[in-house]
Amino acid sequence: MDLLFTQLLNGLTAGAEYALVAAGLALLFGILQIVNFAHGEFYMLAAFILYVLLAVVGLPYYAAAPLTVLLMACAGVLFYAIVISRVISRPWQIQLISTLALSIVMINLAIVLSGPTPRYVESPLNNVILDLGSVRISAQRVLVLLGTIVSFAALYLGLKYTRTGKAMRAVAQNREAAAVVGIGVPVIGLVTTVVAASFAGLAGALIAPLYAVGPTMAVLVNIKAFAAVIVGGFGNVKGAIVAAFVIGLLEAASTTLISTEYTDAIVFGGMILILLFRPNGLFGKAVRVG
Amino acid sequence: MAVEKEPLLELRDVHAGYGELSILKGVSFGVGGGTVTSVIGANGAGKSTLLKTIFGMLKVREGDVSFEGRSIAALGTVKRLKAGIAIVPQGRCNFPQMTIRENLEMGAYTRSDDGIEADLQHMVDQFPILREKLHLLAGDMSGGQQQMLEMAMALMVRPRVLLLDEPSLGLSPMMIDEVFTSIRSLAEVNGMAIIMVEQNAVQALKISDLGVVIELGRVSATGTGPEMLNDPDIRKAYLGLPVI
Amino acid sequence: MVIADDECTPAGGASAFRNLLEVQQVDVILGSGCSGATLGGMPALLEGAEVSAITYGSTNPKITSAGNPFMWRMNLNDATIAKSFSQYILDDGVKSVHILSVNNDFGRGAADVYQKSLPELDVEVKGSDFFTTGTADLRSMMSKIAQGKPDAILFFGEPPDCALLVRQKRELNIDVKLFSRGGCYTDEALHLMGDPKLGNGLTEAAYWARTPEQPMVEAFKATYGDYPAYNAALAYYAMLTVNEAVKAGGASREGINKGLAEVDAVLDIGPIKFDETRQAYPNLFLVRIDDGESKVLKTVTTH
Repeated sequence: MDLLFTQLLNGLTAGAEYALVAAGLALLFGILQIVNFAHGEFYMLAAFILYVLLAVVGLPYYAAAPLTVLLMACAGVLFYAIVISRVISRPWQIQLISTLALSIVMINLAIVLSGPTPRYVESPLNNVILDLGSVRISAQRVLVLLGTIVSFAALYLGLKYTRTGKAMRAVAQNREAAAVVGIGVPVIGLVTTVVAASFAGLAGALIAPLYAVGPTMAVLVNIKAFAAVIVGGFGNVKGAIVAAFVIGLLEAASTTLISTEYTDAIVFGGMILILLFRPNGLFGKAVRVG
Repeated sequence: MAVEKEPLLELRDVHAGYGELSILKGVSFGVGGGTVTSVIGANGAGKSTLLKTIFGMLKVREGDVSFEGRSIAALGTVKRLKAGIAIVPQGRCNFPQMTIRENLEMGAYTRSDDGIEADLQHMVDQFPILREKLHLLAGDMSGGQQQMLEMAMALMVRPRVLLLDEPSLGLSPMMIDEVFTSIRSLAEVNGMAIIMVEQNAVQALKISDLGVVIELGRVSATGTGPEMLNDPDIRKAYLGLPVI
Repeated sequence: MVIADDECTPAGGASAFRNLLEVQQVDVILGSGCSGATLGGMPALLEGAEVSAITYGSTNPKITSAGNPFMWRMNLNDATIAKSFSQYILDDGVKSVHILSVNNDFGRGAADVYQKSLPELDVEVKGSDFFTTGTADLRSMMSKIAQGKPDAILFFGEPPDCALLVRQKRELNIDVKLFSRGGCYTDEALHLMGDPKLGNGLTEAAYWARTPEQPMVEAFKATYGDYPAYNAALAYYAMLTVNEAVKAGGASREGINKGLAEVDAVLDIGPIKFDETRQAYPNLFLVRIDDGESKVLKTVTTH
């Protein structure tokens, strides 16, 4: 029973991490129909920003973490101006190559600037271990869970009720209709890119202290995030978040019940199975053509 | 029914197109408030391009479009919407995962006044089919109902000029009659200038004050609805009717 | 000297070896430092170039048991290390272990070896699990391992993965001894633990460690500001080994290959003399993390 609770918690925290990365990916795909291969590297960039703010500038974690998110929002503006705005109405091949190129450039720039050796980022919550009876968890991991819940609630409410949020959904559902009712697609593109980059910033600020900061830190988590976006129904943000938690829990379950050796095989095998029976993902709806 | 006053919307020698492709090669005509205009012509003649150019989705490359006497050729779609030009393009043009209510609200996206809710109520009075479905998703309605919704969305702009691209496409004959009747009454009651592109040219011309024939990007003939319906060349070429 | 990047993967090793042999046309290859990359690259040595490769960091036993006449290994392999290390683990009072290894040629090779060597000494292997390097979360794996209540975890992995293991072990409050191979005792791992004292009590069997017998270590620090990483240190000794080979057989490709067979030198890390499988037997270092610092417990001769 203890093991069950422990693994449930392990699965949820892993899922929260995948979900934070997957959210930005799903937003950009869902609203702008752009697959951002550099999204994982945004997470890496955020982790490096956090590292610089903590270790070089010397800010306390509580100041450095929100500042990381803010700086990543600014990075989102740059990303929109330099890449997205130029490819948003070009064919998907060009979008794919441009974000893939950005990803490669960012990884190699990180290797050149920081070296391949990972770095440690300190959060005071790392060393606070909460003992919940049979289950133990670091306060930092609890912060990841809380941050995930709060940020997703804010995202949900924002998309559901604000004027800009509605416009974002409108662009996602029918870009031509959005233009017809007078929604400025470039403005929505900018807002979406900034929100996606901010989520990468939040992921970096919250998760990096649990692990190590390095040029290739995002590669594995990015694959899981992509899997979540695909399984959740391409571009369905809610679906991607749910799928990320499903992947985290599935990993914990297969580790416990079957074998760690096959964890990835089981997770990706499960993904293929879901797509066989639901080609549009768990929550995807077939795109309507008028 | 003839147009006598100063035109609400006027096109003078308008050229437009996509990329290197030139589609409109000098289109001129004017429409007044409270009138219905039918644009007819062969496929590819530039009818839809004409509506998109008036709405501002395509740039005016040469010539001018003026609205209430002022040139709007340089304005983007958002400014034209705010000025009172709305379009219902061909094909599905709503937000399928949003409710009917949200769709109507999105129709008024460019408005910031507080009359939106009242207009929304007015809209469901005018299209009763929408009233009972306000909380249903647009994508779950039938094609005809979605067409109604899109018309209502455009009306949420409180347009002075309404551009309709194939409003009767895919509708049952009974629905078509209903749509044409309401187009006529929208023009007469609200004083709008309605410009529509319609395959069903005979029925469209019957309710039109003005008919404009577009041929290879140019206006080849204009006239009142009855004039057009009686013109032997037009009957033969565009209306598929026997020459009297 | 030319450098090729083997990416520490079999495919990367194959293309790096090919590049060195066919494009750069080198006379001898030092490397790779990764078992996977060496295994991936070494078949290329058989294609007629007559170039020898000397690995100084790959421990998978298959590398020297494959019978490739151009593949030499100057560092200890896991089969040799396992003999001493398994005995040490037994002597430390451990009756059962769970093996946790990185899922690559190094980790798989090491897990295979210890799954045989430990039971021979009546140490029970309760299970063997593999993780992908860079996996963020080892918690579910460790929760499962803790359930079996082994006396110790035997870990095979790179420094960043080891730092995660140590931190998450503390987080989950899993109280078992830690034995390791792969770099848990390195400065990199200690740094990534955040608090190096979290590693206290861990014992690593290392084919290289900083010892006072190696003047190179301080000289390296004086020049570059930092102590050498184990790969850098072993590459230095590999270079000295090549030097011995050239002295014995000449600087030609054929000469180096013949010369390597005749090397019989005592370097600061122990004797270098290759056996018929082209495997040398320098010293083994048992390193313990104590009070947040790595200390060499003892230096073991292996031949």
